Amino acid sequence: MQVYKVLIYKDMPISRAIDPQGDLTHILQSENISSRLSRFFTIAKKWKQKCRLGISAALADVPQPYVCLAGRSMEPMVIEQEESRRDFLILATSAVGAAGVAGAAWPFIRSWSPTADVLAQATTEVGLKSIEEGQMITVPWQGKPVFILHRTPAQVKSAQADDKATMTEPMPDAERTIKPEWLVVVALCSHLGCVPQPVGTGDYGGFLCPCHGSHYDTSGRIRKGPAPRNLAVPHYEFKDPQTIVIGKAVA
Amino acid sequence: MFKSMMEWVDARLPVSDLIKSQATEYPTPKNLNYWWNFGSLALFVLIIQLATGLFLAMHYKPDAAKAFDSVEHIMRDVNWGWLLRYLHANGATFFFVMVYTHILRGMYYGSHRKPREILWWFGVIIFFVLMATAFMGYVLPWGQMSYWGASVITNLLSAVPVAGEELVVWVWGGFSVGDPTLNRFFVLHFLLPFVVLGLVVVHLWALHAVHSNNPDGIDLEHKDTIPFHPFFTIKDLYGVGVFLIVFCIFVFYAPNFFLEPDNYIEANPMQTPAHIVPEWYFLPFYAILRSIDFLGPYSKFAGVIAMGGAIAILFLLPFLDRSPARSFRYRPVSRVLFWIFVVNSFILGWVGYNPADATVFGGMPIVYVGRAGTAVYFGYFLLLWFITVTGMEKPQPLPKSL
Ligand code: HEM
Ligand code: FES
Repeated sequence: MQVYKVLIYKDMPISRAIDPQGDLTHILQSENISSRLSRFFTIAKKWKQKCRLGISAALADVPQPYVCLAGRSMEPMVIEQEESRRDFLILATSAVGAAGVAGAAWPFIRSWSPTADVLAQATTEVGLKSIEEGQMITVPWQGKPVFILHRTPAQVKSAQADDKATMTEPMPDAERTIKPEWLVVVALCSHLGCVPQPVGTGDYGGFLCPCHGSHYDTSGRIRKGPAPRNLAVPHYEFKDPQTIVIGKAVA
Repeated sequence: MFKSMMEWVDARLPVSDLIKSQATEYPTPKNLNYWWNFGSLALFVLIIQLATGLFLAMHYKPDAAKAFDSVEHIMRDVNWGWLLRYLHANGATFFFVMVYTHILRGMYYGSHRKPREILWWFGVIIFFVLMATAFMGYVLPWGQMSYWGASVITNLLSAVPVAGEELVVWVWGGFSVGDPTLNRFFVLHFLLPFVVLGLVVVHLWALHAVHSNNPDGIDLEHKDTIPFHPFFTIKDLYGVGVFLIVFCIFVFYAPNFFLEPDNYIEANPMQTPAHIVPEWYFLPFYAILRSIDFLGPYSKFAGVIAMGGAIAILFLLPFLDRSPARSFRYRPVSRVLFWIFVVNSFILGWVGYNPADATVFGGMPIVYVGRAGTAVYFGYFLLLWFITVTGMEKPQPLPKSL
């Protein structure tokens, strides 16, 4: 036995294309709904599959569902409920699916973050004894170059004198050093990460970034060019007067 | 024998139908000029890249300690390794020659206009993925330019507000470009060309759904078309021949013409080369990035937005152009704007090639030229919209058919 489902709506317009004989139009013009239903059912049974296709196709241009006639039971039910139930099920399933995918993506995304061994190389110890006044060395820390400059009194003075000058990121020299004669900065330009050239190359007696022409002064502060920030001062401590440890150990 | 075999196959998978409808008998405008060769040429170069890349990957080592040496090993020890690498490195250059020409062709003849918007968008997406692929490929030899180019470009991400710094560390897998970066770039460089291949299939699907535009930019009747085979199979093959001559001249006689000598020095994170230049095909965009240097702390982010916008604006092109005529052949004002745009792109490229603090014309900072060029670049799109939306440009009468 073929089970089919038909739907009828109040004021359902049935186009001629799917109803060439005009039977349905005729039914839908009759007065009360129950007579529509019973007459409809008689024809629907006759049409079987064909009828089901025809009626469903008509759903598209009907905004207001009225009753639904399921199978042969003739039991009318309100289709709005059916629709919102289905909407809810689709929504709930999609939400669970999306949450699942997002959750599953997390380990993949996190796998790109620095690994435990990379994090473990967090500190670098540097002896300062051999660095003469006016001399500068570059040491690697976390794969990044760090400038350690033993500043001359003149360099210290010019850095401190400029504390009041207008600059992109104002910061007094005293906040950028632990001992004024030692300048320790990460030698990566805050513009796009090039290594600036050694002290004395830029205007203001400091460092010139060759990539796009940023000038840093003897305190590593940005004074001219596209870079938005000063050269970063890494976390460092004097282990003893002759040794510094750059970086913080990470668990 | 062959015929009955094909019948057997066709009954199960209609291959002959597909070939007939989409290739041999596919109706193609009879007035296509040589600018229409560049699509098939781009596909040809993609195949070269896939083939050479696959075999390079069999000898290459994606490890910061070994990568540079493994490329030298490919050059010196691997049989024909030098050829594979030179084909691949120059192939990247010619890929961009093809794609840029292909895009400009579309801009001139209005190939992005209705109903070809989706076709055009897939093209722009391919262009975007291609740039990412080439960028990551260039990192692989782990020379000084590889390293510092990667540093400069990945640092652009730090301009993203709020999460920028974390984002860069995440992309690097460390606190600077390093071994984890190289390793993931290798995997992505391997993967993305296959993504491009998939996108090309959709691009062609969209093309075959709406059919080719033509130099007159008019909708054609069936009588104005000819079958793809033999007319365009032979024309595309001819194009491949001409390309191969030019390509081989570079591969065999000037293989390092487009490569930077600094990239034959192994990457050194402690020292930046005096002058970092990206590959030529990124230069105009690099110039746009650097031209925004007058916004203080916002310069960096604004520069990144301008550079991204320079490509993203291509997505809007189908809606910016409102002229009743597609092809610039019938649009005198648009034509002039177009050639200004092309010349301007070369000027931007030249600005991008020069050091940022260079001066030109007796003392003028080159960045002024860069700013003007950036204005002209975006101005083109704005003016094109303006003259067509206001009807200022009166197109010449279009032919009804060919
Ligand atoms: C969209 C297509 C492709 C483009 C535009 C492209 C671009 C590039 C570029 C610019 C380089 C640097 C060349 C150099 O300076 O030495 C490179 C290197 C490399 N590519 Fe590709 N590539 C593509 C496809 C592929 C594919 C499909 C593979 C592997 C399946 C691959 C594997 C490699 C390898 C192993 C290297 C390092 C060896 C070398 O530097 O020559 N590439 N690629
Ligand atoms: S990276 Fe230093 S100025 Fe751009």
